[in-house]
Amino acid sequence: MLIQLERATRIYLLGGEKIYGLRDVNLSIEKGEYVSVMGPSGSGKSTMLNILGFLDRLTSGRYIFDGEDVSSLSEEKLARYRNRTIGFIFQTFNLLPRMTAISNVELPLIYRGERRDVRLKSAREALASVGLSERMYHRPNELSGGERQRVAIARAVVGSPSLILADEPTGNLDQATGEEIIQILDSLHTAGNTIILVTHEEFIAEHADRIIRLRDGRIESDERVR
Amino acid sequence: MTYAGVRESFRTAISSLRVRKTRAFLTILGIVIGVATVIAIVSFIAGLDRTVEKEFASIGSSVLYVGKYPWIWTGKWYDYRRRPDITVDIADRLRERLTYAEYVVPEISDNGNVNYRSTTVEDVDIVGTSQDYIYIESAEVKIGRFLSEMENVRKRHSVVLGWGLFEAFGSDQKIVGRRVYIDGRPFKVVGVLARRGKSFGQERDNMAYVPINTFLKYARYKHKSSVNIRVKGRDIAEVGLLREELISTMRIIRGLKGYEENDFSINEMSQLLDMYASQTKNIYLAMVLIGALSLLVGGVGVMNIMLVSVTERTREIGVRKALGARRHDILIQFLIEALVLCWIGGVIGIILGFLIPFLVSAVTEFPFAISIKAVAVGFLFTTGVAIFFGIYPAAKAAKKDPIYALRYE
Repeated sequence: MLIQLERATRIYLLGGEKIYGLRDVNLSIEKGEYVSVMGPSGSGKSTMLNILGFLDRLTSGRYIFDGEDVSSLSEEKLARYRNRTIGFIFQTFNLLPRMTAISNVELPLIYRGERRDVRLKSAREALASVGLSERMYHRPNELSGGERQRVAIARAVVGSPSLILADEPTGNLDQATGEEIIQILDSLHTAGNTIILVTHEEFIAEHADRIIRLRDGRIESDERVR
Repeated sequence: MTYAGVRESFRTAISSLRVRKTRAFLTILGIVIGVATVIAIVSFIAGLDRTVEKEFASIGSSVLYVGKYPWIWTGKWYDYRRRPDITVDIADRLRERLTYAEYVVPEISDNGNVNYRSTTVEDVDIVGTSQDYIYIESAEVKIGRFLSEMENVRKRHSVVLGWGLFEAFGSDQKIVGRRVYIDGRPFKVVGVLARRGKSFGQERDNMAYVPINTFLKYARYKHKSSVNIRVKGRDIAEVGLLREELISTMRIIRGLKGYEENDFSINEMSQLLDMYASQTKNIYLAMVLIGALSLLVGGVGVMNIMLVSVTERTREIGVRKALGARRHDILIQFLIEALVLCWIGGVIGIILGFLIPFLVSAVTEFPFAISIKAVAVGFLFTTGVAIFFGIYPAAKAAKKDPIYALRYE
């Protein structure tokens, strides 16, 4: 079992009012699963992603990751978990604009303290795996949208994370390019990666083995599609 | 923070500064001016120190000066004025008694006009002195001879001209043996001194030397007739002994009782040197303060640009945190950026700080010396400013919540 949420609750205070991001959510995800998370805006998708990605902490309940209770980690530990176990893919790519593709991909390994030659080797391999060997020294503004997202995927996988979190990865792309990106995700899954994909498009969600639908911070349905 | 991270931070810092060249340049202007000021001042003073040391060395530190007044006043002027004059007679008695002294030379001077044929030179330094003056001053006779003992005893109207006067009178070698007029009185030229140049900015060639007894015969004001006595020791190592002997001998000559204070002053160059040191220390401090102030202003500028930079790069901070950057990774990244910014300013400032005094000393006679101390001071100052003013923006960056930062537009 890679992920386990037990009565996971996240409450935000907004002007003295309690807003539930997550409300008593119970959820387990196995290693190697490919899960889509769907739901209207405000349903708790982002909160769940932030919690699972160690960007945020639960207000109450437990988060067990790979057998360890990670509900109340220090900020330092959270950063360490993000660095070593999570690969983020964002809707807006979030590449650093002044850096070349390879420098962007190298970043997680810098924060891991890897040596330069190790970093460059891994970064080259990761870029090659998304078909960007020829564009390693281009900056984001010299790349197309699809290429940018492929750089971001390379950055997400360069450190061999336990979990890949993709937040609307095709949201800023046209349909054809979006398909390409989804195919890369599919192949990552085939290679054994655990992937959680947040999307609001049914046909993309259907690439996953399992679709979880959220509403008002609760799991509305959780179905296996494959 | 690993070594790799620091290196990456330097790269990031340089590339992010490159993107905003104009803004970075304007920001570091304060740093540049501050460092340049400090370096320039330190270089000027180092040059000045060197010149002063050289001049003091040329005068020799084994010379003591007996006078009615001290060089550095610690009491009331009228107390000094009440003292009896120092006379040529005292000089003669000191010369007889002092065992540690090589030369004892009385000296007094005033301004006067010197006329030769149709040329009159005004405002000449007329020095009344004795035959040993030439040795104590290590001056060189170019033509003829210096004053003799007999000329002093007999109060002869003899004069030795400085090189400046000699040139003013047409550089005529035959002037020796001829007559010049000092304030209307006839004096026979017995010699000409070689060029002596300047000392402490004072011209030493526009001078005329006459027997001191002759000088005193015509002294214009009674209260100005106290002479100064220069006493040169046989050995520089024995200056202390010479000083003690001089003071006790002077007290005997003056007939002072044990409880009475000295009614004369023993002066020496080292007192001036001390005063010079304490004076320049103050200038030094004032200038360093000015430099520090402009560095402070520069530092505020650095803080400002860093705060702007942190806000502009909120998203970048969010991304870095999502990828695993810890607080101190971000802190160090922005601190390094502030350091790079300040160091660039520091280097430009150091170069300017050397260039300005170098150019000034090339055009004027102002001395100049490169001081490694100045570079160290400039470097330390900029580093200090960078850390002091960079830490707050860097801490602000480090504290940003990654979720908020990732959503920031």
